[in-house]
Amino acid sequence: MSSTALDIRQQQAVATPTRVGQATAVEQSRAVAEVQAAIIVAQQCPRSVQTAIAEMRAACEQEGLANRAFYRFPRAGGAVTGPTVHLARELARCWGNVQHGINELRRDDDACQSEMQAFAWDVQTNTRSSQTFIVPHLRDTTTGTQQLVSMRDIYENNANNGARRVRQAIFSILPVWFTESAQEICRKTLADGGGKPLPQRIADSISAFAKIGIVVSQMEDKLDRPRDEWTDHDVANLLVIYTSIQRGEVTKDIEFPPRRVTSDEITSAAPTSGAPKSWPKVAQPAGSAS
Amino acid sequence: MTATLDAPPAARRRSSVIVEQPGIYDISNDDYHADPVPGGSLSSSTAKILLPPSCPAKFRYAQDHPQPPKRTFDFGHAAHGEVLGSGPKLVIVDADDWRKKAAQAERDEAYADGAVPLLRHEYQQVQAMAAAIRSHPIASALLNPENGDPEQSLFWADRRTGVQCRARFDWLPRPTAGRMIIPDYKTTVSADLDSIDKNINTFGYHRQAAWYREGAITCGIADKDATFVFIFQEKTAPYVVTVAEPDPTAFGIGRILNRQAIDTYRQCMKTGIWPGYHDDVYLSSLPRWVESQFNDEEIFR
Repeated sequence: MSSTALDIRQQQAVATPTRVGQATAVEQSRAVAEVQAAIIVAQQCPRSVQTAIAEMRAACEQEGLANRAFYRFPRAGGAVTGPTVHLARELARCWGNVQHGINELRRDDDACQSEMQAFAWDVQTNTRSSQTFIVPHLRDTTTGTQQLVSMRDIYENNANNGARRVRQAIFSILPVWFTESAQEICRKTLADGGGKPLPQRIADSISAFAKIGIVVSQMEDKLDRPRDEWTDHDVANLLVIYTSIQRGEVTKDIEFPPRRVTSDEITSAAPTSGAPKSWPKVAQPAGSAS
Repeated sequence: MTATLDAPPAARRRSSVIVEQPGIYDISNDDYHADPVPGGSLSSSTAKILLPPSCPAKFRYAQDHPQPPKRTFDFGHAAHGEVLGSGPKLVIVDADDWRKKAAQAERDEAYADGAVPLLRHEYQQVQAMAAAIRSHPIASALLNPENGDPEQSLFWADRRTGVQCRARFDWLPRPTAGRMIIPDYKTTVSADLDSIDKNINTFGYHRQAAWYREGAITCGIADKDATFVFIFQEKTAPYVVTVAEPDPTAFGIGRILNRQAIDTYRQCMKTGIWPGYHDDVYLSSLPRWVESQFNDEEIFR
């Protein structure tokens, strides 16, 4: 297959290092030695699955982890939820003999993109999952894509994109029963709410949502039942939603859409005795006739 | 093209009132459109001209060269007047069209009096439209004369930038115990649901909705629960009516675009520079599909 004009142009644009510095050479040797050492150590100190389960259970019973264990974002009119990279990293630690990370293989400022690799590696069984991907230095905004220029923006963008891939890599090398069981325990921890009585947790969540402008009626509409009938599971769900709003994964308008206007509301909106008689004075400056 | 002008875009038409304080004003349509705020103010429709696909240079030109009345606007004004029970004086001309000199003379006389000239059949059409609105259960409740006032003007200073803003409400509901629902009347060729979705985007009605809601909140007459609905009515019999509320996403996009327009306006006012579409050398690319087609053809050559 012959190269196209555009292919040739892109190939020419690729810069290759002309020399390897001393630090790079040392790093290359160190990386090779580290890989060999990791495998040998893993073979000499194999994991105890029972210990891993106990560690996972202890970690997932902590509210600090459970609160950060799930994400939630809008997609196609619904919401997608799943385990976060925070949970993935913690489970990798508990499972043991797992290496994971993100590498920026190459940054091309001319093409405005970074070539990245995310990996997770079970050094004991030599099971490895890695993904190489391109991260454009762009950010989606409501008015189109915006190019990222500052080093910090590019770093954050690469880290965010990498975190999702490393989460996927860790979950693909850990046994499914291990990760499912961890999520179940996290959900239970959220539902238990650190041993607080349910009415107290309901009151706490109402007051937390009130601080971001969400009122009880919106929460009741969301859960489709009055606050007196909320369950442990409902409060756990609310907590995941609250954390996702705080993290900016989802907006409060999407999770709690403003009340829709209905014909009943319009036809019954006549001035009532409870209504103010006129507009506030500040809205009626001198000389205005209204 | 960049317009560099030192003087602010003061209205070229004279307003008989001067507005120096925020609030609700019951002033004429002409006074509102002549911008009674000393130093100039931004309305929803003029804010749209600041942003793509338009540009600040066009905004400045529109400020300096107010457009003469158009026939299509006459019909809309007359319909607003009949439906809202307020509006310009109508002059009915007994003619089938405007081709004869006598009809044209009457029309010009009406314009000179500040009235809106309408042909007899157009007037009947406008009356039939108003009757259809009055018999529509939702539209008639929204525009019930006991619950609101027509054609009210609001003036306020943007909370973030201090830019003076204005809006002319077709209908300002009076205080109720419930949340404020601001209606706006639009005549349209088709009030079917697809056309409404399309027209809201094409004519930037979502920006108007967000603008008016913000104005009502800033003037202290509505809280954050306030919302906005459009009453779309077809201009041909049977004058079908559809009441539509922009969804939260449309409101959100409207808010962001309004913010960009206000920031652009403030920047242009500050610098006296009203840029065109692009003030540097624009790097033009072919559409993606042309590049793909070129590649495919090269591969199989």
